[in-house]
Amino acid sequence: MLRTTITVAREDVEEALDLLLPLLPAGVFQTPLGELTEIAWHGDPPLQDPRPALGALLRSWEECELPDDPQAWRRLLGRGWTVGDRIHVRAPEDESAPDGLEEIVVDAASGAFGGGGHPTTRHCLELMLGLEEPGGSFADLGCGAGILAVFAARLGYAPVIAVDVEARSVESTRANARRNGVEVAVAVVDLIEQPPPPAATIAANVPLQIHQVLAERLVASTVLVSGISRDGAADALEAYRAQGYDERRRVESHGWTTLLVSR
Amino acid sequence: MNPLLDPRAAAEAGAPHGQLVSALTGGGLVLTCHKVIDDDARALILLAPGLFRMDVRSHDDSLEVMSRALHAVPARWGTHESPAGASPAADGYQAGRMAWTVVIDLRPEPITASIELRMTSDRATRTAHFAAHAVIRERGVEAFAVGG
Repeated sequence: MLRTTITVAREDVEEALDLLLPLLPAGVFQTPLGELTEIAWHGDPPLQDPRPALGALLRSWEECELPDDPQAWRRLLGRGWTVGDRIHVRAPEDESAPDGLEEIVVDAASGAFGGGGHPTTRHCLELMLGLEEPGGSFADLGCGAGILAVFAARLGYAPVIAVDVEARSVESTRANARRNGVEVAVAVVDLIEQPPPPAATIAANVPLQIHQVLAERLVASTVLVSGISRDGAADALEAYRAQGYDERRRVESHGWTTLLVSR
Repeated sequence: MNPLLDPRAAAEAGAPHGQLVSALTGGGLVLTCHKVIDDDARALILLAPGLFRMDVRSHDDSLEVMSRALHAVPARWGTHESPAGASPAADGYQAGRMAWTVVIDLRPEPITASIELRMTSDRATRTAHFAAHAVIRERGVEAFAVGG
């Protein structure tokens, strides 16, 4: 299977996609690379050669052969990503972290949510790095593959507990904690029906409806309110304000908003 | 009738994507398109030449929608529903659903589109099934009702 990779200037991405997407039914993968953005596609070539239309937008064009098996090409293309120039998050099959970066390896192969690529997960990691004096108890609510819990343990929080409504997510978190050599307690918890575990710092990457139930049950002083769309941020903040929390920071991207609140 | 509602242009542009186009009696278009898309890939799911393009991307089990105006006049997008179906099903598939009404301030009459989008993601294969449907007419927004 052919993989084609081009780069365009970051500010030219949408213009390039206007030309490319009508020609590529299976779509494209976008990866920011500083001032450039990589746009890649796999499989059949475009319905017509886009190079003449792209013209000066095109900074580079490369082609290579990939295995036909999607799992195999994902392994080949895996890169991992870096949070705050300090910690590198990657899948087990990706290349090791660049020198000087601490590494977290997360396997979401079981189908658990959150291999780390989702914007809401990245927001939480960025906000966690900015918290002053990490330490004390930490709970990851809606843990998925457990990346936030593992990250918290690496930052020095203890004890760390991770809960999810899905048993396979809890098992995935347990395996990822073991893989990264950290202590994380895990439990299957339905946050609509059951109380959340008590902790001083909470990361809750869950839908708005769960935040609206959670807010009045938490004893935490600091909460990362994640998993909400930009449109839902006001409602989420209102639920936490009603419990005495104030907004300290906010991160937004790809239509998602993550709030850092404390009291 | 506004020439942008000519079904031939939408049929030709959308054909590579399997987009079906029907002309409405009295003027207007119905567009329907479905695709299975790899997780993290951004792909076109609806294309109305001269009016709008809608792209989608799934991240894990969440849905990202990007609209692109293909005209130079103001357009107003209203959301009928927020993403729903966030609760996981027993088989691990998750469903998302969104709907919009778009009013494009063309002359002499605005063009209004009623759009629905559904997604079901499959974490095991890291793919998402998308189905999109748009009804586009040269009428006021009050002429539309999005089904529940």
